[in-house]
Amino acid sequence: MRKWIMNALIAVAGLFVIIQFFPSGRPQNKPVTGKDIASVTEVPEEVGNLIRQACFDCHSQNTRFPWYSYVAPVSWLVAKDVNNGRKNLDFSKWGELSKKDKLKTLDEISEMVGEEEMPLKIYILMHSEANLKKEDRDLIVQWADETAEKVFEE
Amino acid sequence: MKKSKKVFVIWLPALSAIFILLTAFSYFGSGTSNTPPPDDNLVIPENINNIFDKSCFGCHNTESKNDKAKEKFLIDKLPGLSKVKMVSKLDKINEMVEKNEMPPEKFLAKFPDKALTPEEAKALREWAVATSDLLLKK
Ligand code: HEC
Ligand code: HEC
Repeated sequence: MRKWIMNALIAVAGLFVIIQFFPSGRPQNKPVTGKDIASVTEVPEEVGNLIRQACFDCHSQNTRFPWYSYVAPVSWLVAKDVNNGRKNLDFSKWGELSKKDKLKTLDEISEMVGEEEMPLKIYILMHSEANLKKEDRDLIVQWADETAEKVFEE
Repeated sequence: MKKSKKVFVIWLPALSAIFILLTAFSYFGSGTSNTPPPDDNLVIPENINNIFDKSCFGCHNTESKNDKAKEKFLIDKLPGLSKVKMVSKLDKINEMVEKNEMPPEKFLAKFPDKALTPEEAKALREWAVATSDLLLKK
């Protein structure tokens, strides 16, 4: 092997090792009782399973952290997505939202899932169970729209 | 080359490369829009219409070339939305203006005169909130 290639590879490997020592800011799961979407709103089992599989890792306090989520630089990406995801929508804290925020969020869910903006593409790459079929997306969209109607009438 | 060193040289870089490649994927968006059933009759007051015209309509209308903006929000279709969707959109307008996310920064860099004045931002937000409150009460 040419010497410079070897040196370059060693440098990359060294860098990979060094970045492991930087903290990722990985968020913790802090369960809140009685506020999660299923205890506040009617969520059919099928829809519940879909959002648990495809959304909860970033949008709830039930995030599962697979082994590679501990390894930089993936750990940084996971931390960023989960922190950002929860800030926009936390299914575990659904009950804390005002009526208006519920309506707005349901509309966003309907749009983001219908237009295939959610789940994030990079997540689907690593989690085949989040690769929602057309029927799955339709189910979630329909549920979000119906739930919005109900919240509106409340 | 000693075996241990060889393992280090081959595997660590390979592993690193895999992780770096993984992070190199970025997010793409695509999709279609769905049309909700028309329902209520919203009348946009003239002062608000003027604000929309100046700062928003160029991107958020049916004929717009900006597909992302079109998918998310159409001012010309706002009055035809169902009440529920209308409330959501009005609150979204309030949120976007409050967070200074609309009009987009990049657009304002090119067309600074399209920016909302503080008074316009206030009027637009107050109208959006009041209208959505009213719809919720009915
Ligand atoms: C890999 C993490 C991840 C997964 C999985 C994921 N999201 Fe998100 N989601 C995010 C992040 C990050 C944001 C914030 C995006 C932004 O600000 O651009 C977000 C934003 C959102 C928003 C708010 C959009 C807005 O305009 O405020 C909604 C609604 C949403 N996601 C719904 C979902 C649904 C429904 C699912 C499952 C079908 C899902 N997401 C799966 C990370 C994720
Ligand atoms: C340069 C084009 C442009 C202009 C001007 C503009 N927007 Fe937008 N707007 C966009 C784009 C693009 C998006 C989609 C952003 C995204 O999905 O990340 C958007 C999204 C939105 C949304 C989000 C809708 C949703 O459901 O998520 C609202 C509300 C909005 N704009 C309101 C406004 C208002 C109000 C104005 C004027 C004060 C305005 N926009 C001016 C391009 C524009």
